[in-house]
Order: sequence, then structure tokens, then C-alpha cells
Amino acid sequence: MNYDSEGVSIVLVGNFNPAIFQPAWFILNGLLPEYDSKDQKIVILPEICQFQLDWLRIEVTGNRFLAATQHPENYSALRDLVISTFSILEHTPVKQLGINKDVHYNAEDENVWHKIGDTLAPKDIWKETLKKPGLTALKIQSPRNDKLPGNINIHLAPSSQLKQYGVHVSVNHHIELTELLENKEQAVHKSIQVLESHWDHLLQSADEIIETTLTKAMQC
Amino acid sequence: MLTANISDYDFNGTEPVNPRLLIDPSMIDNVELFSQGHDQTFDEKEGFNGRTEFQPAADQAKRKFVSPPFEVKTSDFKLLQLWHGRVDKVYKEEFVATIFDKTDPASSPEQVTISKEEIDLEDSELLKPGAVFYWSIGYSNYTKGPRQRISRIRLRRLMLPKGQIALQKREAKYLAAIFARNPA
Amino acid sequence: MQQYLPEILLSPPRPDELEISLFGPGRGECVVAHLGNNKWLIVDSCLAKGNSEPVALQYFNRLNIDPYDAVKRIIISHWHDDHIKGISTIVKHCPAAYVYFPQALQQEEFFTLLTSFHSIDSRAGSVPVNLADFVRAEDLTSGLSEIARIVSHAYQQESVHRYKRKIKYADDSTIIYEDRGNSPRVGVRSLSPSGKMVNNALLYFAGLIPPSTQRGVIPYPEKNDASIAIWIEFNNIFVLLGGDLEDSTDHDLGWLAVLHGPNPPQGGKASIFKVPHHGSANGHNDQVWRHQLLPQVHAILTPFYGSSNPPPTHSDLKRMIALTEHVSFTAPPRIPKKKYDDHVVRKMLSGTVTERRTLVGQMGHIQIRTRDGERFTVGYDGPAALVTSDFLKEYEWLSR
Repeated sequence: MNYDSEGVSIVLVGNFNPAIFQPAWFILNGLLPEYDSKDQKIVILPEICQFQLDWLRIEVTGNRFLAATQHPENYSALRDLVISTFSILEHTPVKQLGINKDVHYNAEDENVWHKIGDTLAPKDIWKETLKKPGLTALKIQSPRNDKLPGNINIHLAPSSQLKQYGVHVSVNHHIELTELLENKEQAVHKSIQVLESHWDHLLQSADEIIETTLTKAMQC
Repeated sequence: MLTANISDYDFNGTEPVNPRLLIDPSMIDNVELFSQGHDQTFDEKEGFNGRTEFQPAADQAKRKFVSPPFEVKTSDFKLLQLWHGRVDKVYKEEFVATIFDKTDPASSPEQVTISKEEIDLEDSELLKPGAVFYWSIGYSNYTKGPRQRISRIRLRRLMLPKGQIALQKREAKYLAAIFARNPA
Repeated sequence: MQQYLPEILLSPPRPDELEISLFGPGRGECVVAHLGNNKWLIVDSCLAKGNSEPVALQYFNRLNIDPYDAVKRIIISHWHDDHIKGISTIVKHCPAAYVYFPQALQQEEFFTLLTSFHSIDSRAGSVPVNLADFVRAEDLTSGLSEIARIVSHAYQQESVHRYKRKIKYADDSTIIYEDRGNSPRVGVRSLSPSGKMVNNALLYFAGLIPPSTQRGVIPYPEKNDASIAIWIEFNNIFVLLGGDLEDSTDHDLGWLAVLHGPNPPQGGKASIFKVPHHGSANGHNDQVWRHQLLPQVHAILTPFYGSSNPPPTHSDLKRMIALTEHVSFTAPPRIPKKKYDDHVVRKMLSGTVTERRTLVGQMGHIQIRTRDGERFTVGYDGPAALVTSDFLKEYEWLSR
């Protein structure tokens, strides 16, 4: 399936010092080459650090770390960056890990676009009391079907990125790291292991969820 | 001045932030940007120690932060082909690698010889047997133009936690004892 | 007397029939041997292109044989992934089998190498590890992921100690399997690695351990000092599986160590020979051909596509044809380059690489069966074929 755009992000929930996560720190530690750092935009405050490079966006607050890219050729590099970052900062307290994929799909046709919304959220019930009900956002949660503790969250809405007939689908693989072990200090190592061992499988799963959902919604 | 408290962030566990909540930085005045390096909020004696148990200075606890976002940069690169590669041998002018087709994963791996000129100078010290690289071919500026064919080899940068090394050595000893030859 | 068939037999071998099946797609190889009475031996493993099931298990499926109890021994004679892809799946599906590793893999140096590249993490407090589940779609694994899977699988069993009794180590005088009381009388023993080969392997492992925290994967190994060569006796029929053994002037290494070591092949000469090292000159030893093999031995081999002059070369085949008429390969020594559909990709590729070769071709299978060592039935599947003089002429022309 072809998408207008797609992206992947990795989120860690824990306890962070935002001011560390500047491009210079990543370059100094050999995690990013200098050639990545041209055209950077950066803001650093005690409570938040945000920067954007050509292919990478990093955003860190006191309790949340996010690394994201919309360059499919760099998905593996994104994973490497997060693994390496927390290999160096191996004492960082973390408790949750999220591996997310989101796409903007162009339905190209108004009828197809409406069909997606109507299939996933039938309007008949709503039309009894509402004038012109329309789907603005849909959220689905499911327990995981693998050995990792956590859940899967899917978010679907009209795309704000595409001018018309766009659908934004986002899949969040949410993993509760502290449930994987007795010793909570090991959680950052576990997040590294999950990123190493399950990365391809989780991205494939996200692709499957998105493609199946959209295909079925257009067919029914 | 536009400000926002951190609790205004729309995040839900480990899902990414909704970019629409982010504000154009040009609308913000009086933003203090820290220079890249140390700043006064760190303990001067310990310096930049990378600890995450950060305690802001008392006067800063009252500050409201500003959450300036950036326009989320969407990719204008049309990816045509992606390989992951493993460097097998390095010679003076070139290197030999095994490449695995990620665009058509069912197809056979290939062995290729590539000139070292294809590697960025900064990545050249990483070019050793066993190094991993990502090789992409596609068009840059695909929708906005002018389109340009790009072939890019990026060497993988992947670190191991130092604490893990000691753990792995202990693990190796344990496994060697467990799997030692059974007595005759 | 030989009977050559254009295809393999899909009925199981008779209880008193020896079978040697060799599989090879150009990278990695697998030997499946019937030791009589539905008892089987598997050596190494490979996958067909685009397939995740090991070829040995696919073959058992075709023969309608359940490997669960039938496979008695699994020998892992390589430690690098490229030659044992799928072996951990075989181990899992054959719980009755004893698994033989080369002796070098018993040592701490090997486990240090293994844990440097894989988070085995066998103990996480009292909680059994469930993250050591190496289900990775990515091909680009460390050269040890199959071994890591076998080791981590041990911890998913009820009792590690009961499981570990199934793991054995082979050196130059290990009896791997024996059944002298029944008919057929069968013996399988390893002829290598020698002590010096083990030491060389350990030094090599130590050199691969990453010196810093920057992580790579293990590059394709130049040689296999851990290789296990195997001698099979089936009544009065003998088989020599040459593994990756190389020729050497050092009497403690390679073929000389086998021939002059404590337990050289005895009892007779082999009528089936799995040629080592893809038929290359550095795997050839004249003494082996003269003293250990029958004059018209069935020489079977797999090609190796990963070099500029891939073995077996024309001169390799010519050398072997001069020694026996019966030389077969699982696939031809050369295959065409992979074609990319997109013209931009083709152009950029040709502008970037100076040489390119496909590493895995179609899976070929040579199946040899005999009951008396006089009459042989040889079947071929896929691109496997007998080397003929016509082929040699054509190959010579292609090699120019």
C-alpha cells in the first residue's frame, strides 16, 4: 500500500534530564555524525529539549523521551540511536516503551474516504438524533498477542496533512517494561533488548494493522 | 507571550505527541536558549554528568516553560531501494560487503565490492569488517523538486551499555559451566 | 552399478538402506543421512531462498517421516549463521536427538563471543526470560544467532540440566552414534577438529570479541577451524563427509591431522564422499583420494557463490573428474546476477559497485541410496546434476 507519508517514533516514559539531549551530545558520543547536524533547529530549556535535524526529531521532557523520523530509509538508524543513547545513559529510570508507526493515506476519492469512516463507525445510530454525524477520531485498544506486557493502541482520524480525502492512522505498541522483571533498575536494558529483538516484528505488525484496517474499511 | 504548562501536552502513555499542539516559535518572545554546553542549572562541582535525577534550581521551579514546536518535517525523499549490509573485508581503495535486500526480502543476498569513496569521511573510521550499513537509493525533493537521484550509504552507530559487558562476561562463565562436557 | 534418476525418490528408504542426501543453494549446505531402521542423522542446515523452514525438515515432510523421534543425531559443524541457518528450528523439532557441537564451542571463549553479540540473559532473578526469543525478520543477524537460539531454548525447557545432557561436543575421536548389535551395523564418528584446530578456533573467537562498546556483527569467517569431518560405517559401506576440512602441511591440522591422528578412518574405503570446501584446491588432499576413497567413489559437493572465482572452478571439476566419473553438484558453480526492476536502481547500482554476485541460488538436492554398496541409486532435484564432459566444456568457455 502506498502512503502519502509515514513515520516511526520511539517513546520512553521515565525520568530524564532534558538538557542533556542536545545535538552536540549525540555527536560527541558518536551517536550521530556531524553531517546530520546541518539545518538544525533547537530549543533547550530546563523542562524541555527539542531539536529537529534533516531526518530526526528529538523531544525530551522530565518524564518523556521521544525520537521520531519520517524517513523510512532511516527507521533502523532511529532504533540504533535510541539503543545507543540508553546504552550510554544506562542508569536512566524508565518504565514504559512505545514503538509507534503512523501513516497518512490518500483515499483520492470522496466516496472511498467516506466509506472508510462509515465502515469503521457506522452512522445509522447517530442519524437518529444528529443532523450530519461524521467521524473525527477513532481509538481502539487491544491486549497484545505476543509475549510482551502492554497493549496496542490504534488511532484513526481524517488527515490534517493532506488537503482532502486523507486518513491518518497511528499504531502504538505500548510495552510495560517494569512488568518484565523484578529488578526495576534493569528496565532500560530491557527496553534495549526489546528494541533489538522485536523491532522488525513490531513494525511489521503495525504495517499489517494499518493495511488490513484500511483495505477492509474500503472493501466492506 | 504564549506559554503552556507541561501538563497541557497531549500525550497518552507512549504515543507520540500530537504535533498540532505545538506553537510557532516566532510567536514566542523572551525565550531563553541555552548554549550548547554547561549551564548554571547543573551542579557546578559535578558538571555535566548525564544524570537524569535533575533538580532544578529553586528560582527556576516557578518558571513556566514554553513549548515551542517545529513544523514537523515530512520527508520528500522517495525511497526506491533499501539494503542492509555487512562489511566483510576492507582493502585500501574498496570494501567487500554482503547486502540484504529489504525492499524484496525474499530475494537472495548479494556480495558487492564498493569503492571507499562512497563512504562519508566521517563514517570512514567505522568501516571495519563486521560493520553494518544502511544503503538507500531514491529521489530527493521528489514532490517539490528539483528531483535528484541519491545513493546514500550510512554506517550504523550502535553502542553497547558498559554495564552489559560485565554482565555478559558473567553470563559467558555461567553458560560455559552449564554446557561443559558431561563426564564420560 | 549406478542408476541415475532425473528426480529424487519420495518413498522413505528401506530399513536396511543407507541414504546420503546433500542439499545446497550456493550458501550453506545440509546433509541428511539414513542410518537404517528409520534412524536419521542431520549435519548442518540451510534454507531455500525466501523460505524460513530448514530444508531437512521440508525433506522429512516430503518423505512423510516425522522427525520428532526419527532424528537421532544433529551435528553442527559450523558456527557461523550462513552455514547453519535454521539449525535451531531443527533442534526444536527433534527433541530425541543428541546435538553435537565442535569441541571449540564448549569453551568459555566461545560463550564470551556469543554473549558479546547476543543478550542471552539466562537468569533474570527467578523470572524465566521470555525476551530471549530471537524472532527477527532481519537477515542481518550476528553470525551466532542460531547457536544463541539453541542455548536460549535450553532455558525454555522444564529442566536445563536434563536438556544439557543432549548437548555433546565432537573432536577428532568422538563416537557420535553406534549400533553394532542390530542390522545394519552402524557407526558414526568424528575425525576432526584436532586439538590444534580447536586452539586456532579459540584464538579466532577471541579476536572477534568487540574491543569497544561500538557494536557490529561478525563478518563472514575466512575459515572454519571448528569443522567436523565424519566417518560413517553402514555394514560394509563407508561414507566420508569432509565438512570444511582443508589441506595443510602441518600434521596437526586439516587432513593430515585426520590421516595421521589417533583415529584415522578404518575398516574400508568410502564409496560416497562429501567433498570438502566446495571442491576447492585447498580442501583437496591426494592421500585422502588414494587411501580413503574407492576408485569410483560418488563425490558430491555444493557450490559456493561468494567469491570472484567461485568453487568448484573448472580446474577443480577437471581434477575430480580425473579421479572418479561420479561427480555431482547440488547446483551449478555460477548463477546469473540478480535483476532489479527499477531502472534508476539498476543505474545507481552499476555506478556504485565494481563487482556484484548473487549468493543464494535455487536449492539443489542429491540423493544417494544403496543397500549393498554395489548398486547405487542417485537422484537429483532442482539444479543438482551429474558433472559431464559436456558441462565441463561449457563451463570452460564461461570461465574465460
